[in-house]
Amino acid sequence: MQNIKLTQPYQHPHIALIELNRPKVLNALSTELMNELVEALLKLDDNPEVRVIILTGDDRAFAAGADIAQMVTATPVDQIIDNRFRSWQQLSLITKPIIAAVNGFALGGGCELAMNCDFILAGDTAKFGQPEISIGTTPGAGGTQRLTRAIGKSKSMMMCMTGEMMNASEALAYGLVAKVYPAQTLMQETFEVAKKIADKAPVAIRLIKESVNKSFETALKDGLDFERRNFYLTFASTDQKEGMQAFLEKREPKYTGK
Amino acid sequence: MSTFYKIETKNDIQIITFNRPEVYNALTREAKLDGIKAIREAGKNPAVKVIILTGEGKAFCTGQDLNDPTIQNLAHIDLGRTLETEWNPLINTIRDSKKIVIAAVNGVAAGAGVAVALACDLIIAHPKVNFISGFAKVGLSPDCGAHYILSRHLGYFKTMEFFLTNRPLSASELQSRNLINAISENPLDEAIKLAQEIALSAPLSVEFIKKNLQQSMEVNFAESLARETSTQRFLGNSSDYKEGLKAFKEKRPANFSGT
Repeated sequence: MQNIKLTQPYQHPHIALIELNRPKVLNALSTELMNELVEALLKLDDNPEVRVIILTGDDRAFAAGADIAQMVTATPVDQIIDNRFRSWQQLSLITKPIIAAVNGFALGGGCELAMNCDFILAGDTAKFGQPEISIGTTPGAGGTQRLTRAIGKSKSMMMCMTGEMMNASEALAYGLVAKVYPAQTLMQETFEVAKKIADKAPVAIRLIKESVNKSFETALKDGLDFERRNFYLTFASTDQKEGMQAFLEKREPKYTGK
Repeated sequence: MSTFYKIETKNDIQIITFNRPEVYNALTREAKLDGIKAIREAGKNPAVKVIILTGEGKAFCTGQDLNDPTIQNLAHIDLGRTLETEWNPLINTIRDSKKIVIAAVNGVAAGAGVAVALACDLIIAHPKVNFISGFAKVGLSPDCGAHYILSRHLGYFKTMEFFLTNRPLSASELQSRNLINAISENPLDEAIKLAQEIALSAPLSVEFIKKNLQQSMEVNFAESLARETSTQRFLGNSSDYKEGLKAFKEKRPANFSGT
């Protein structure tokens, strides 16, 4: 794996960190990088030790979009054969929580990749945008869909049509990001958040991810039905018994992931 | 090397001097862009700990050079663009710099020149210094963050008077309103003294103090508290904190690495 780095921050057994690692091109998302990323994510999803995944770039950029050099002369047929969005579709197969930690630019495909994660934590240097219009094309990996769901039609239209970026505090105000920290402290704070999630019952965490994501796909009534079934389902887990028992006994729960 | 500035380094202090005394250090587009570059480079240079901004001649800075051809073509004028691409980046470069920027205000500051001084982190002024707004006299309104900063320090009514009339704010008035740190016959020397003291503090502490104090003026108590917490969690793991503690116990000056 050359285009991404996979590590375990602070040697935490349940937290995995993936760093996009093409610093010279602001982590532009080449087909190779995306394939490596998906391959790594699928492995982490299968690894019973891993409970939370953090995805990040570097100080300058989370990812500054697709690899334009790869696309400039492409024909539609080239794109069909390249099938670059296959890896993007596979992102939705990951059932464990993925946190995007964004410092610097998250533009075009970078913004879309961040939005593909379950939530975004941002450093105060973060800048989000869908600038595809500035190079004569449109977002292609969910930008017009996910950004609109995240921040509403008016702002999404304006951003996609002008190519203008939004900064971290604006992104927070619009609900695109969950929280903003000073850029230097972002990774440590992200790790603290990841730790909180890793300490919770892993199966329930997966079901929450599934239920929240369902809310974008269904009518409210169907979503509520889905949620209720997932709620009932947690009662089949030993972790639910442990969680409630620990609460009554006023002690910290010990979850096994079963 | 830009002709608009004199740049000299004294130990770990970089002095950037506006050097167009013939026009009272008014700034053209080129002068602003060169200034942004100079401050950015000083910000990135690990050998520089503090930046001092000052002016050559009688003035500190008198804002926009009204003879700049880019603001003369009245058929296609967009002063919003002048702000977006020249002045606002200059102001933001000063405020966003990781280094402390001290204004050694040697003479008059007018128009956006006032805002340049106010964008700095510390201000030392000569006793004869005047701040003059001037915008309403040429058919414009104040810019470069002047409303934000002045209303917070001068209050609504005094800021109104300053913006609406040609009455200057004198050095003594500025000091009584806490808009400057000190008055000195030789503001540059005084600024250097101050810079030398700052250079002894831990660089990461300095960097976060600047950012977090700026942020605290814009957010509510809870957000400021959250940021302090996040900063402390981070700095608690820095090697300079270890060194600071050790130096404190050993009763010696700390030797900080900035990490």
